Amino acid sequence: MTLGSLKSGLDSRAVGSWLSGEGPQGDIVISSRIRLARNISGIRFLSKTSQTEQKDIIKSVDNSLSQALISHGRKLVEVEDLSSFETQFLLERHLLSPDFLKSKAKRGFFSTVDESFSLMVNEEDHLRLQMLGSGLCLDNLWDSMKRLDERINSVIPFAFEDNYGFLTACPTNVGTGMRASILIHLPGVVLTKEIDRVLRGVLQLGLSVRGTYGEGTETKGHLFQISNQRTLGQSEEEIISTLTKMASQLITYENEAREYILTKMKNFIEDKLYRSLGILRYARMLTSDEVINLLSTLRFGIGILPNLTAGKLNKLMILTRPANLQFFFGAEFSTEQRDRKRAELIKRALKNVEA
Amino acid sequence: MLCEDCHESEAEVLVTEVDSSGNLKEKHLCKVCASKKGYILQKQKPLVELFADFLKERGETDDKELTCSGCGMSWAEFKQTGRFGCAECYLKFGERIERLIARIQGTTHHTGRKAPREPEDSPVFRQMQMKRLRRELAKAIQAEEYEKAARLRDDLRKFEERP
Repeated sequence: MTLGSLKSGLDSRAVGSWLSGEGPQGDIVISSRIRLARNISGIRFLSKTSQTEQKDIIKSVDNSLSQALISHGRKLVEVEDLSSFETQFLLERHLLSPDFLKSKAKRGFFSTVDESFSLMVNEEDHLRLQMLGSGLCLDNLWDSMKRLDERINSVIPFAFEDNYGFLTACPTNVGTGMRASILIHLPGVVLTKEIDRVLRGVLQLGLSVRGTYGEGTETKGHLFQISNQRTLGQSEEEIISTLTKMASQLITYENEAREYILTKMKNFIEDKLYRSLGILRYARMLTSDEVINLLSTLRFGIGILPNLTAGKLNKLMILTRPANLQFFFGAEFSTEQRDRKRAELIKRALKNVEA
Repeated sequence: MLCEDCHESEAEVLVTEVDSSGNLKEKHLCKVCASKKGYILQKQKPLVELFADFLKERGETDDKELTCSGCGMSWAEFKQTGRFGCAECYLKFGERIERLIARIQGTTHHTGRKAPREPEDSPVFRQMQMKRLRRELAKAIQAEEYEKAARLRDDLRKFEERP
């Protein structure tokens, strides 16, 4: 069966600019993300709204996006108009949350084509704004986010109170309503068995560590998502500065660990690297989980293997996920076909990465 | 539950450990083992856990009577879902909210950016409010709640009269 085009207007053959690998420290920090939770002033929070009101909220947000000159004539899509394939596709691209998919409410979604800005309407709050950027770039993201937030806010007022700040459905988000995070790759720190100590330091700073896909997900492929926990009592700039400092420290640890590994464990790491390359280039069938771990190891080879870039690996990381893979080829596959097509896609992408 | 390290004392601390392949694993430890491993240093529990603890606590007896007039959510209902029904809940539940927020966020005062605009200036907002008020007004009239209807009509007028 062939899959139709994406109603959300995204490009199934390309990935978002946040995966370019070209941002600051892009070989170690995959991406930075800022999310803001906002509710419309004078309208009840989601759990106390009717479906009619939920539809009104979607319509108002759509209007405000065009008035604030953000959507450039594109419409917000209603989630119930999207196929389950497409919502899965968006989840894999980190543009929708798992809770949002499970919800029974009337929901809306919008994303710019380059995925740098997206928003969910009627998730837990009326609005969840998200910006994604390549590498360690929280400062820049906050600058852009602030402007977008202001522009939207000039059309729809947000629920705000002087003492508590921006009011959210859950008190764990109240205040700034901001969750800032980085996705960081720490294979060196893991291999040198320092990760436990390092992550404890992160927790002590009041930051939290999660898996790739957010709350409650496991860590895979040595990728860690680090974010602020508290949303009240610190300004947005303070939150971002704490995270950025922590990230810089983690990068230093990771670089030290890699240097140690490349001098003291050279045979071991080279063998691991070339074995991964061998499997990725020559296997005929590859499962999604296997690929995550192999790509993680291969990432170690940036700067060692010719023609291997962070951007290429980031792109493969997303395009080899089940729904993305099927949209890439434009057809629905069985699990077996999928494993075969996945191997085909990777083989093609790594053709010029020679041992 | 017994400590997963010494298997002797009662486990009191839940820690997250990372194995050599980078997978996170949760472990229940007793206080002695946890401090040996340096976990006790981490005095503050994660915010989500603090919140979960709070929701599990048995409520005060007057929980059922305490209700937000903005959305009809009761304190008991909030403790079940952990989500507020409207912005007014923050003020209506008063001191309880203050205590809860102090406990999970460590403070009760926002120091970040302020919302830049006052609600009344925006046409989109006015339309939304008027639509909502009209709907509620119709409902109140149907239910013969005339006092409420009169209040809603006044609110509606305020929006309609604005230039």
